Amino acid sequence: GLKTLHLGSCVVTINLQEIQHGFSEIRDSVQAKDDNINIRILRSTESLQDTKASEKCCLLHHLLSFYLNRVFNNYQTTDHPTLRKLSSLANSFLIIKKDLQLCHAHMTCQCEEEAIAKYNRILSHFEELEPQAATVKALGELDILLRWMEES
Amino acid sequence: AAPGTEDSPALLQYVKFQSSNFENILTWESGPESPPDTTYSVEYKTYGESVWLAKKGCQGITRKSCNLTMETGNLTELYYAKVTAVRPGGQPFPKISERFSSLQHTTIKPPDVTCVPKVRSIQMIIHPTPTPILAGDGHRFTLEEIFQDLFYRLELRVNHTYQMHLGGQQREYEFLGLTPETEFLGTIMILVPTWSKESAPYVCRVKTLPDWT
Amino acid sequence: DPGAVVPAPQNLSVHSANMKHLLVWSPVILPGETVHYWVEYQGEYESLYMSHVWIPSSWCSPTPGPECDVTDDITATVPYRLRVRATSGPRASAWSALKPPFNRNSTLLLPPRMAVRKDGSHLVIELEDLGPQFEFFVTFWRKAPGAKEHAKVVRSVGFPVYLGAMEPGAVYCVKARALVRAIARRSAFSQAQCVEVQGEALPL
Repeated sequence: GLKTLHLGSCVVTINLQEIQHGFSEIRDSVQAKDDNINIRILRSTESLQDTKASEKCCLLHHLLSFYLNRVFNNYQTTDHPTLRKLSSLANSFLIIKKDLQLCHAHMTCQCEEEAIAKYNRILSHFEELEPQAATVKALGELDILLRWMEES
Repeated sequence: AAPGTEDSPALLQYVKFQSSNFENILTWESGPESPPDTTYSVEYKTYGESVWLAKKGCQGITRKSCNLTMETGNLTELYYAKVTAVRPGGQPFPKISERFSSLQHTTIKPPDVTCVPKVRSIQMIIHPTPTPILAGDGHRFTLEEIFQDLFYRLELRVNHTYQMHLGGQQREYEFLGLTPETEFLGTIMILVPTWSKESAPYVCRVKTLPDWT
Repeated sequence: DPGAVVPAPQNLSVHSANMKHLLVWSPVILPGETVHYWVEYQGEYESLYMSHVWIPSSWCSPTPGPECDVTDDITATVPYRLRVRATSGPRASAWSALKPPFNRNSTLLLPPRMAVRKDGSHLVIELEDLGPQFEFFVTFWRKAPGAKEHAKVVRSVGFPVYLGAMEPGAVYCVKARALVRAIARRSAFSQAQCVEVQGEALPL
């Protein structure tokens, strides 16, 4: 069930299967709340796997921070099972982010132009939307981010 | 009138994709009040795009399924499908599917296996599973090429008391140290851990050969 | 006494073994009243990013007894803050918090229980089912000087599994330990169990 991510010289092991499974249990209900299916935040043009190896760690670090700072904590639900799944996902993302911070400390998670440019484009797609709609859409696109990680 | 209101009774329900080994079939059911001569038209689009595309061959049909395998074959994309039901003289009634990702939603069929009994062993040869997904060079991707962590689990039941297990990503296996002229039940499954996928088992019942030595 | 204050639960602790986590506390005694308990938790994420948010436990919102199985709530390997309060009718106690927070990587991993037997010349093992997070590292060897040790990772549990073929007249021994990748830890080895195969021993 463990997956090793090779992000340039930064190598981390994550429990992707557990995270995928956790998200699959709330995916349909979250995606059903996304009314605007003409827009996508995580687009193929900014995908992780098509990013230069040396910059993958930086892009993923920014994306995890984005989800931790702006998505998980702003998604509104009164449904306790969904709240628990979100907590599980968020705490799993926190573990990955800590691992990436170790890479950063060891200078193997450098941020250069490409990663920053891609992240800023993703952020602009997010900020074009009304805040709560953007949060719902970003959470509904978690499967895209997980697939990017799986294919990295 | 808005779909599903009194003037436009629900002519349509349960619009969803049924996917198996990346063969993606859209299915739906008629509504409680739809007359038999209701016709259906299917459109599809990539998530994030604004344009709906009509599916040729599924316009004004009466059957309740439509093969969208080729239209939804890009593994990096997500899709939506829309079915519009029309009854003579009535308002069209559209209904959209849930967001579809073939990687996530497809189920895995049992593998294709040849079980070869010998005197004191049974060989199992698993054949690659082609999918409708086309690679850049035109060849059809196999399941093994699509899922990096795909592996096989093989079990041989020995006279109902215990099981022998083999497993891995290679295609040829052999259960050794068996008793001649004895019946065994073999089951072989495909597993994809990352996506929590597990195929139904392929089952073969074989008898080891007599030992004439 | 409807006006009396409901005392807060005391002596919170977590008993955790083989990735099963049980929060326990001292019962609150209110003669003639029915007391219920409510358990809530925060993972490290909630503590850092949403400290005002506490999540009701899956099985103990409320619960009648002074314990709560929080296994389904502790789903990541991070520190979890847990808290409990007691209620009697409309009245509620203050919250009592577990100190220090609990991390599942502190769970006690016990050597697995196993049954080793032979079927003809086949060495067979059955391991207890400890849940989907467990794998078992099994080693087996022929009891003879200089004999090589064989190793196998077994994930199938709850029914007998073939380990290897044995030679007639020999004694074979097996031991196993539990592995939990989610917390990157393993148990001690179980006591070795040995079986003897009938028949003439082959010359070495």
